[in-house]
Amino acid sequence: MKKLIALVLCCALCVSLVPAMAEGNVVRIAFGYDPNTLDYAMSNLDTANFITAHIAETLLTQDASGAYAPGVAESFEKSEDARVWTFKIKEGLTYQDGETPITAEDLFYAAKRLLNPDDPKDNASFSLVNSEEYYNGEAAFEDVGVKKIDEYTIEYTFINPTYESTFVTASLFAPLEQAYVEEGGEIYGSSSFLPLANGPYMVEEWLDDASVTLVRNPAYRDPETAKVDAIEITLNASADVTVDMMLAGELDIATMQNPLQLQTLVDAGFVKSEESFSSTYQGLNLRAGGRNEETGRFLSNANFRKAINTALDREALAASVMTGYTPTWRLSSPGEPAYNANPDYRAWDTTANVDLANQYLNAALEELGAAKEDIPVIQLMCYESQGAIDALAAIQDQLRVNLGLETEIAPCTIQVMISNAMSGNYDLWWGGNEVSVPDACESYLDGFRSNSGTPLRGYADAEFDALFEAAVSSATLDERLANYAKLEEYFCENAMCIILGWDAHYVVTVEGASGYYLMNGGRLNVSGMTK
Amino acid sequence: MGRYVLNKVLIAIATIFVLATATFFLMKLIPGDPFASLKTKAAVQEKQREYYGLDQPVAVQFFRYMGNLLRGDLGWSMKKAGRSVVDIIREGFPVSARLGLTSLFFSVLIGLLFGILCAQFRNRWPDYLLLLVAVLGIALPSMVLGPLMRYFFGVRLKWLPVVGWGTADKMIMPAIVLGLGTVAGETRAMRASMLGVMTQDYITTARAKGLNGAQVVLRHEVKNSLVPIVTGLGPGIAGIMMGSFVVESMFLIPGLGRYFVDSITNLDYPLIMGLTIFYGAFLVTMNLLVDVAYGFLDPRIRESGKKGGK
Repeated sequence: MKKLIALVLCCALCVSLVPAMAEGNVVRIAFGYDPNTLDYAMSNLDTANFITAHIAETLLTQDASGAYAPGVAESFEKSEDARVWTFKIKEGLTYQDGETPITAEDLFYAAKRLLNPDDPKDNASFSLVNSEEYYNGEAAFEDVGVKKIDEYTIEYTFINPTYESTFVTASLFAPLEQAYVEEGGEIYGSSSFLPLANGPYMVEEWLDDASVTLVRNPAYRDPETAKVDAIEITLNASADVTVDMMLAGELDIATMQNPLQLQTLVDAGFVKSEESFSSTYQGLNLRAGGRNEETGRFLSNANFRKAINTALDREALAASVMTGYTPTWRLSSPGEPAYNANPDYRAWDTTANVDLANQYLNAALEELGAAKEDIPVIQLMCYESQGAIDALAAIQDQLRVNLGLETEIAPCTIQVMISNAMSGNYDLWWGGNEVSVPDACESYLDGFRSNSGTPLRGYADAEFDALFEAAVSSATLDERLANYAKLEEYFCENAMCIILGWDAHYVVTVEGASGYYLMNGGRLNVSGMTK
Repeated sequence: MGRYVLNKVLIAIATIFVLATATFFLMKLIPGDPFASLKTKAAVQEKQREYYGLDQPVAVQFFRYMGNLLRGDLGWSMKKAGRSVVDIIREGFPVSARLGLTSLFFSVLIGLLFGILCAQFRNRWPDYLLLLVAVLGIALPSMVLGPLMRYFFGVRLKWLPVVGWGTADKMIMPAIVLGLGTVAGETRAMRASMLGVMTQDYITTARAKGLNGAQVVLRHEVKNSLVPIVTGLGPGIAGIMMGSFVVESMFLIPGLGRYFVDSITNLDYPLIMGLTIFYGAFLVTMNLLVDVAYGFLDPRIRESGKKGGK
């Protein structure tokens, strides 16, 4: 009897040790974080963005070619100045239950909920007319630029001209069923109360901090879109765990940055995408006002900033302490619409130009009536990770050797770093800024305006303000990109920020995989993937 | 006895109160703002501070928190939208506890076995070999051992899943990594304890009575060596059940360990408080149970409690 029990236990153990194989056309992917929430108004992590891209269909969608195609909307009209957009919603669409219809009311509610000042949402934005006034209690919601014309027509009025790329943003342009959201209350969007999907997939299971499984949404309008039966997402996987999972055959696709890890996978027979995509502009954020008057006196001088910008050897940094980054020669990274519209522009050399840097420094000292000894110690603030400290140590060295400039590294916790940044308490700060579409105006350059309403950058530059205003007021995308080119040139040539590297990511897949594509912001879409 | 128990319970409650108070004010001293973000509009951050009551004076926040705590409400996570602190603990603790207890069970078992063998082969090669293993267990940090095991058993040999949770095979590697330090500690403790017992007169008597070697070892030496080992296990159990940030992160285990670090990094105040109070209460409860058990076992202890410690 004992032998029989032992045999059964051994068999059970053997069975349990056989790795689970994915059945059907299942795509397995890993992300570094739990999504935290799938409430479109709150979620902004990569993991959540990936899931949202598959479960939430917005007014317009983006296809594999990058073009914008009708999603929830059947058609749209826009005013001549591209500020008023009217969308006709497809009739007969439902959420995943196959019963609850999608109407203009659901988009109206999504906007109202996002802008509710009594229940603040992370992704609240103020692009609609009077939205900020409503948020601050200075206007009624009726005055906000969103109107339900009829059951299937909705109209948005924006402060600035707007383009198709805006309408793929789930926080404002994905429908929400009010009764369902209110039923969820505080827990809506968490693993205990998942959102009602209207995209090609829906969440079957979300085990907090472990995994998310997406399956086909049977009620989706175009079943052909979802070629993959299921998408299995592993959560909280660091880059080295992702590599091990790929090598062990537990993942089918991943995005990677580290060249050594990429090479390991390529050597093992995985396929790396030819084109990279950038997710951030990495470098030294610079506060023109400095952290105090003493440093602000120098940092507000364009020649002083240009001296720093020119003294840094970006190629050396990328080869040593910024592995995985592409050395920059301007703000927009290759592949961005703004880059493609002005592809020949090069603002600086990727290596250090010591003579030119010292010329800039001397010009700055002359303008300021100061001697080199008067330059105060410039603070280099960073997150207290070894990688960040190493990068700043190399930068510190280059500035000392090439320019004779003394700096001090100030590592701090992430929350302290952001608090200091938001309150303008820094000189130079090691950090990244997200790449966005069609350009960096709203997501990044907005903070450099004199009336940005935040002490983050500390600039007061009327010429920059005028160029910014011209860019965001452009009625067409072509006009916008042309105006943006002027803005970018001004920004780079005055070294308003020290952009050092584009955060270059590649997609790595198992051999024979195809059909995946990247949407705005580097969001991967695998619904059409085959392997 | 009732008075003794009551006394201990009151001390336990006071300890938790002091812990909660100290944590609350220390937490508020951590620089930074939980809602500071470059992605969120400044006006929104302002509203979020109001929403969570962070615009109120610290004293008001403290009394409000304590009032909620008395009602068993630990609040909502500021970073994990839609999840209450109680939910996070309720879901994470069983995972960490299961991994911890499994790891502890096997590591104590192996540690005791190694300790017994070391003592029996004192100053001979098996003793040196097993002590070397024990020293390696302490010297090799889990952040080194974990990836090595993942690579050899998961990637190269494909015997075990690289990471994950939910099935027995996924628990093997993290349990080993988590328990190796315990194996080392138990080996050394058991060896020392055994060596002490082996020289006692009653062991000589047992041999003189004609008991064979195995009987002497199992019935007398091991049994009497276990007392100090068991005493030291209490805090160890509490610690290991709360999870390990490193091991849980390395093997993607959805336990409580990572929250102890993440909550502080993110300044998620309700989660910091909730986890500290939960861990504190768990430790205090364990100690309380030990104290009460001692009281039952040893009349002198409960009598000393009755006479005010004299």
